[in-house]
Amino acid sequence: MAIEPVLDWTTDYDIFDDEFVRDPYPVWEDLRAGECPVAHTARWGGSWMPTRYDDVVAFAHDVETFTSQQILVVPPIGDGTQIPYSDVAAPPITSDPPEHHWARRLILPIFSPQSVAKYEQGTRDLCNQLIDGFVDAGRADAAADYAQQIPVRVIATMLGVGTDRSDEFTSWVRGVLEVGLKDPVVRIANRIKIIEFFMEQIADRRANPRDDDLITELTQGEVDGHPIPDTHILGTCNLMLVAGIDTTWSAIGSSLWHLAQHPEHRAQLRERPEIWPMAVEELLRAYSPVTMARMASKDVEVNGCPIREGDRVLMTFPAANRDPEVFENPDEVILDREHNRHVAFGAGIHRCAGSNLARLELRVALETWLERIPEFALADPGSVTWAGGQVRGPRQCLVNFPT
Amino acid sequence: MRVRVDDELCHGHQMCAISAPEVFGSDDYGNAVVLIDGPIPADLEAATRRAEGNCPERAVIITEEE
Repeated sequence: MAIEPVLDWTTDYDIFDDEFVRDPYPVWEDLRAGECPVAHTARWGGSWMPTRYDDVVAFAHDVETFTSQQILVVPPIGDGTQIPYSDVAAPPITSDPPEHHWARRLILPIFSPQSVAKYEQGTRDLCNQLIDGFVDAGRADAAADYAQQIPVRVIATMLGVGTDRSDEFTSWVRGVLEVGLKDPVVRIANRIKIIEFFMEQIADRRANPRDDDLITELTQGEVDGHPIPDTHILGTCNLMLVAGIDTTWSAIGSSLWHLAQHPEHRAQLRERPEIWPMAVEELLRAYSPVTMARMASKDVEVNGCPIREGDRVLMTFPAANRDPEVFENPDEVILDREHNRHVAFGAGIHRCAGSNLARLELRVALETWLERIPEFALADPGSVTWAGGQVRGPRQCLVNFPT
Repeated sequence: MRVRVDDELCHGHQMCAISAPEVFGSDDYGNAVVLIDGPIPADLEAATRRAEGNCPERAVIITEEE
C-alpha cells in the first residue's frame, strides 16, 4: 500500500512517517509554537496529538473523559470482540477507575524502589556478561547486542520464566508493539502466543507454587477476599512482558546513542558520579520512548478541538518533555538539570508502574557500559535505525571503541 | 521550612526521593513519604526545593515559616 506523504502535520500527521520516526522533535516544535498545538489526523483510524506539556498532562489526568480501555493508537479489528482472548487486557494500564485502583495496588508493591533494589546486582552481572561478549572486538551494536538484551532478561527473572527464551519474548513483543502496530494480523498472532504462554505458566504455578516469583504471587493473591480471576492474572502477565521490555530497551539505546556523540557528557559522569540519578532523569526527559493513547468516552471540546466519542488521543509525553514553557533549553541535554518535572513515565493514575525498575535498569546499564567502555563513538551515524509509533528508540546503533 | 506531600496528587513518580533522598522516601506502594518530622534542616533546604521543582504532579508542598 502506497502511503501518501504528509503535507500538513497539523491536520494529517502520520506517526509512522520515516522521517518523523527518525526525528520527531522538529515537527512537535512547529506544532507547539503554532496556532493549533493539538494536531489531528484521519490516518490509522484517526487520532489527536497534543504537543504542549500542559495539554498532554491535562489529557492524562482526565480519566473520566478519556478511557484507557484502548491504549493503542491504531483501532482494533472490528469492534475488538471477535479476536481470540478478547477478554484479556493488560490491567492496570488498560483499566479505568474504580477497577484500576485495586488492579494497580496489586502490582505496585512489587515495583516500589525498595522491592526492585534486589534486581540491581543481577542486572549488573548481566550487563557485564553482555559486554564480555563484544568488548574485545572493538565494535558492537549498542541497541541489538546490549540494550535489547537487558530488560527482557530482568522481566523473565521476575516472572520466573527463565531467560533462555528471551529472544522469543523479544520477538513476540516486537510483534505486538513494533511490527504489529501497523499490521493487525501480526499483532494478534503474537498476542495469542503471549497469552497461551502465560496460560501454561499459570497452570504450572498452581500445580507447583514457587517461593519468589510474580506469577505464583498473583495466583495466590486476593482482592476483597476473592481469588484474582485468571483473565486478570493473564492480563497482568501480558502487561509485564509488553510494557517492560521494548520501552526500557529503547531508553537504554537512545541514551547510549546520545553518549556516543557526547564525550563531554561521558567525562562529566566520570568526574561527578553523584549526578547519576539526575542524569538518568534527564536522558529519560530528552529521549522519552513512550507515547500511550486514550479513547474519548464522550464528545468533548478541548482547546477548540471537537473530540468525538471513540476518537483516540495520543499521550505525547516525549513532546511534552521538550516544551520550552516548562524546560529551559529543552532540546539540550543538561545532565545535572536543576528542575526536571518530566513526564516520561506519564502523569496521573497511570504513571508507569514499572518506573522504578526501568530507571534502575537504565542507570545500571549505562554505568556498566561507561565503566567498561569509557570511550566510544557511532560507527556511522547514517546507519542508525529507529523504531517509532508508540515506543521510540534505536534498533540498530553500531559503535566503535578502542580495545 | 516545612514540607508535606499531598497524597491525593502524588502518584509515586519518586522524583522527590531522587532529588532529596534524605527528605523523601517511599511507602510500600511507591508513593512518597516525608522522612523528616518538623522543620527541614538548613542544609537540606536546597534539595527540598529541587524536589518541589521536580514533581510532575506538583504534590510536594513547601511552607516557609517566619
